[in-house]
Amino acid sequence: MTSKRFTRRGAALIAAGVFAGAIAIGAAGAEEKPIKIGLTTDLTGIAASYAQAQVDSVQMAIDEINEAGGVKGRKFELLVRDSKLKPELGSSLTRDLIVREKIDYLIGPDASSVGVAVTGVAKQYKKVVVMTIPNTPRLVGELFHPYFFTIVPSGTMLARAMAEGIGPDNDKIAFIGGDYEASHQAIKYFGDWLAKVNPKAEIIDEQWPKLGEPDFTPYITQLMSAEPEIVFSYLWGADLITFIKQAKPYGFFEKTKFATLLFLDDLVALGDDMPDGILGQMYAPPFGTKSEKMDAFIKRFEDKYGHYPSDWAVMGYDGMKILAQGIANAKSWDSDDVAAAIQSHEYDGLQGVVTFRDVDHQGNVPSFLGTTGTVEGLPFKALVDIKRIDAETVMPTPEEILQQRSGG
Amino acid sequence: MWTDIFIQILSGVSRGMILFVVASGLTLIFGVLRIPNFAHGSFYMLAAFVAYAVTHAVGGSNLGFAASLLMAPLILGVFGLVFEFMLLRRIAGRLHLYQLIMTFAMTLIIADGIKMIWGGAYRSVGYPPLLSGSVEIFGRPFPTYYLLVIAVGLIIAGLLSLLMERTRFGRTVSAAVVDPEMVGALGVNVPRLYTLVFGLGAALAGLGGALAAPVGSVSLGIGDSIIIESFAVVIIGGSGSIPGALAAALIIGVVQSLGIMVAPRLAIAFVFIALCVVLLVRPQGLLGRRV
Repeated sequence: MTSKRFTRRGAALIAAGVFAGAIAIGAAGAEEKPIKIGLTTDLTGIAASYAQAQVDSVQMAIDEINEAGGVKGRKFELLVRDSKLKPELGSSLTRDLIVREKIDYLIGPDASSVGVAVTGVAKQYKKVVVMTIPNTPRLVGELFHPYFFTIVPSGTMLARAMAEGIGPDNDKIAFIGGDYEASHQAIKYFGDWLAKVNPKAEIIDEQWPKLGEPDFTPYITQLMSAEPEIVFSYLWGADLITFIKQAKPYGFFEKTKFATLLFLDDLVALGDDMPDGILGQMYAPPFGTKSEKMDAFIKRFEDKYGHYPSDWAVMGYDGMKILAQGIANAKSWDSDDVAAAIQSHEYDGLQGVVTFRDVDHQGNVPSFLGTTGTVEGLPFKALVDIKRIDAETVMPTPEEILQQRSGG
Repeated sequence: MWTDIFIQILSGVSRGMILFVVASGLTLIFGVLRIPNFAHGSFYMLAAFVAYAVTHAVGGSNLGFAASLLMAPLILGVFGLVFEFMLLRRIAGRLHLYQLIMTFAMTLIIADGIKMIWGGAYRSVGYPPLLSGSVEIFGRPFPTYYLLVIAVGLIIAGLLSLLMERTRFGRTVSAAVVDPEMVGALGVNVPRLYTLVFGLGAALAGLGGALAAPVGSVSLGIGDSIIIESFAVVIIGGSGSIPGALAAALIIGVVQSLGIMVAPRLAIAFVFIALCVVLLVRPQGLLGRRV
């Protein structure tokens, strides 16, 4: 009897001990468990090099945070998935990251089409997502939800900035852009803003080659015979390179001014073959912002990856730091609290201070317009006479956003 | 107006010539070996990357360009020989489906190989300095480089026609198309003949890729549109026919060039319209044999 009671008591003690121990270990475990960040991006396809820069820069930001001890005692871990430029795949991979891998927060994909898919999943599972490349206006428009943030100048902002840049000085403008949604939106927003900055200006010719067009010659001759003062181009990447190389021997750039969307990757690929005097619009070129912070970033990036960082790297790095700062400032790990923390704090980033508006969580990020030319210390042609166009001058007003969201 | 049209036609001819060089390789492989070589566009893409590597290694000079024009077909030719000898030969005589799958697999392997070696970024090869300017034709500037492309296309057309019609090799190949067993019974090593033809076809894709590299970007995906156009050339020209391929490639080049002047939004359909018209009139292709 005695022994039996003893045993029972002993068992209860042991059980209690194990239970307490389990709680202690569990608590310790939770303390050390990494914060998982999910990144679905297009590592395959025409925008693969942009995605690679994004993965590299997000990883670099994470490494820096982890070396400094992490956030609230926890370190970050990055999980990357390849959405191959396919929105459906982007959706299912992001869902898998959330449900099976139990990631805590999301960071921006690559293509806008995948961005649309990812933001849908983020909304469904209430996960904070910071976008660092996609920039379709639909993201802040009808697809907006409280967990979404973006530090990319939207298509509307870019098109308006272009109109600000070239509209006042030119009356006859021709357009060339790949025949797809973003390009059609660009000319629409551009045209609307052009009417404000120069009512005399008109768009005298529009050319719509298919994406991946190998032969731009017919479009080049068409544009030249329209005799515009300036050509506004929404060609980018490999298409822009093909266009420039084919247009050059026709004397295109001597005959007409040319203003185009331009990525750092294009400057690097073309090197000395980039003609001087092209007006380039860029998202976030590292050489566009002179500061100690930016210089240090460029150096760290070059040391780590062996090449100059692109626009995508700047946005990827800032995006990850913004997310981390939000997590650090939040009352809890909860999505609502983190979103509120990102929303209520300003972030001092590579290009200056970033804040997010209540209405659409669009970061007030700049874009840049400059003229191609040789810049000392850079192994490729870059932009000179750079004009920084601040977000405030071109951002849609809250009323415009609400109107668009209601389907107007 | 007429000058514009003439210049437009001339640029269409130059585009058509690159297409001809690539498609002539495909028409040999398809017409002689009956292999629907899906990887042909990838050969072209790989050649453009080889041209990029060679030009940069030599330093982007005229010499670098000449070296790329030599090395790309050579490397792709050897690549083709090895591919045929090691893999395609194993499934010769079986269903076309197997060959289709194997050549398709090769497109994936080449794409991943390029990614491993050169990464995912797009690149550019400059025009050779000697040909980077333009010449005046009827008072309009026309890229000098395009004249070189046209010249190379004509030379290749001439050489291939001579090879196929005037040499023992060409006659044996033609005979093997009609009756490979009989040719084999006469003492010709038919498998070796097939390997050589495949290598020659791949080398032509290589030359096309090196020729095209300065005209556009060098990036993953440039093989996608050329493979469709090349198959269109083979079908329009009549499979196996070199003069047919030349005529078809020039038709496609010029139709696209002029078509964009008239109806730019239809540009994506021009190749298929040309294809349909020819097939309705001559189902065997322009210069194809009736089968």
